[in-house]
Amino acid sequence: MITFAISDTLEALNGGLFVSPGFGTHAVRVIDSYELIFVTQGTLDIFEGERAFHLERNQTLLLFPGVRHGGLLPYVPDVNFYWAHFRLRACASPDVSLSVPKVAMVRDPEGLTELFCRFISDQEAGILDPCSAAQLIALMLCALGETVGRTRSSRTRKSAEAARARLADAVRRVIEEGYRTPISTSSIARALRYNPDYLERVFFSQEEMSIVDAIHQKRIDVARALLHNDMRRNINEIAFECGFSDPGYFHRMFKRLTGMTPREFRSLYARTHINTH
Amino acid sequence: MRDALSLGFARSFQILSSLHVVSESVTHRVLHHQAALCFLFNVHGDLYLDLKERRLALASDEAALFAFAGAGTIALSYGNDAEFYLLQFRQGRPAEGVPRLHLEVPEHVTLRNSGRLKHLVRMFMEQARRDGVSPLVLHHLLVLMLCETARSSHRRSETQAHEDGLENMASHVDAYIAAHYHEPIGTPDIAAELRYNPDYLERAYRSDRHMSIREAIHERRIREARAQLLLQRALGVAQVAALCGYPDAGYFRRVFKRATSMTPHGYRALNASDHHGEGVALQAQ
Repeated sequence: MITFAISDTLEALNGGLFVSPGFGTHAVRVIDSYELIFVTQGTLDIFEGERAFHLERNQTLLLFPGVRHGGLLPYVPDVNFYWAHFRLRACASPDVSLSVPKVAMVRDPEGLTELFCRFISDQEAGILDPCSAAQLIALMLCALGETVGRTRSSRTRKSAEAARARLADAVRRVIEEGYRTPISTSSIARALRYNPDYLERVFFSQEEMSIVDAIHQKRIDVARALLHNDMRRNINEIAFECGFSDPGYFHRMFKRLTGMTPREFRSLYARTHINTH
Repeated sequence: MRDALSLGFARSFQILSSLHVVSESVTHRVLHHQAALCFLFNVHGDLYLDLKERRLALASDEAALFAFAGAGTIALSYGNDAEFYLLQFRQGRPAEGVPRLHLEVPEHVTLRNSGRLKHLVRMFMEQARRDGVSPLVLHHLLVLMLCETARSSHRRSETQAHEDGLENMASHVDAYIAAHYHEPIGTPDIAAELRYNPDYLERAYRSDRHMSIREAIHERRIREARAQLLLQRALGVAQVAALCGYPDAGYFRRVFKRATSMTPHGYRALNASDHHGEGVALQAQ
C-alpha cells in the first residue's frame, strides 16, 4: 500500500438529474452549500438575491450559500437539468486558482454530462467515496472556469495566425451544426467557399487532426452523451441520431475512439437517476 | 453579488509524463525516471517490468503503482498485442491548514471493473493532448484514477461481505501465485502461508474463480512462459521452463501444449518478428 494525503478543499454533498414534471416551481430557499446547475434541455428561470437568471440549454449557473434563491416561472414541460451541491474550505496556500463564472456557456457539454453521470450513478450505487466525489465536482468546475495565471495563446497570435484560427473555428461550427447530416470535408469546403485541400491544411495546422477526424470525434462525443442519457433509444438508433448511416461502422469508430464498445460504455454508468430536487 | 467564484487548490501531485502504448511487436524499452511515482494500467496483453530491486508481471486489467527513491531506469518488455498506460508523477508539498483525505492505494491490483478506469485514463489522455490544458484537470483525473484503483481492493457493502470475502481470499491466492510461481508451490503451501485449511481454501477459490488453485498456478506459469519465450530469445526452452517453475522440461512441454495447443518451439517460431514497435509518447506538464 502507498498512502497519499490529498488536500481536501472541496466537499461534495450530493447531485441529481431533474426531469420536469411539467408543473411546479423551484423551491424558494436559503441553503448552506454551493449549488451548480447545468441545463441540458429546455429553459430554466431562477432568481438569486436580487438577480434573475434565464438559463438555456448547455448553460450553467452557480448559486452561492446563504443567499435566497428560487424559481421565477413554473417548470417548462421539457426542462432537464443536472444539479450538485458542494462546500468549500479555504485553502491558505493554494498553488493553482480557478475562477468559475456565475453563468457559463459550456464548451464541452458531452464531457460535463459524463462527469455528472459518473457522479450520480456511483452515488446511487453507494460506491461514491468522498475523495472521488470531490475530484468529480472539481473537474466540473474546471470545465466551466479558467485557471488563473495562464495566458491563452490564442490572444497573442499574429493576425495571419488569427485568420487561420477563425477559419478552423468556422469549420468547427459547421461540424457542430451539421454532424447529424452526411457532411464531409468537400461539403464543408463548398459551404465556406474554400479549396478543400487548403481548408484541410489550415484545419490540421490549428487542431492537429483532420476534418474527417473532427467530424467523427464530434459524432462519437454526442453518442457518448446519448448512450448515458437516452435509455429509450437502442444503440443503432443512437448511431443514426449522430449521423452514422451504418451501425457497424459506428461500432468500429466508437471502439477506436473510446477503447470500448457502445454497449460496454452504456453499462459503465447504467443507472440514470431522476430526482425531483 | 459576486460574478465569479474563485477557488484555490493545493495540488497533491505534479504530473511529469503520460504514455499510451499500443504494441505491434515484441518490444523492450528503457524509460528514465526521476525520484517519481509511476502508475501503470495494463489494458491488454502481458507486460513485464524490471525495476532493479524487483520484477513485476502485469496481466490484462491489472494496475500497479510504485515509488522510486532516486533517479534510475525502468526496463519494460511487452508482447505484440499489449496495450497499456504509464503515468509518472510527483507528490507536491502538502498544503498548510487544509484538512487531508488519506487515500490508500495498493501496489498491485486486479481491477474489478476495468472499464471504469479505462474511461478515466482515456479522458486523461484526451486532456493531456490538448494545448494549454489546465494542470488542475490532469491532477483531479489522476486522483480519480488512484481512487478507482484503491476501490478495487476495498469491500463494497455488508450484503456482499461474503462474496467479497471469497473474492478477497482468491485475490490473496492469486497474489501469492504471482509472487512465487517460479518456486515449487502447491495448494498446501499457499494454505499454510494464508493460514487456511487447504480443502476449505480450494473450495472457496473454486467457487469464486471457477478453477482449481493448481490450474491457476499452471495458468500463471504458462502465461509467464509465453512472454519469456518471446522476450528472452537467448534462453532455451528448458531454461524458460526452469524460470517459470517447471524443473522438468518434458512436463513443461506437455502442460504448454495442453494450454496453448502449440509446442513452446512452435509458439516462439510463430511470433518470430522482433523488430521495434513504437507507441505514442506524450509529454504532459
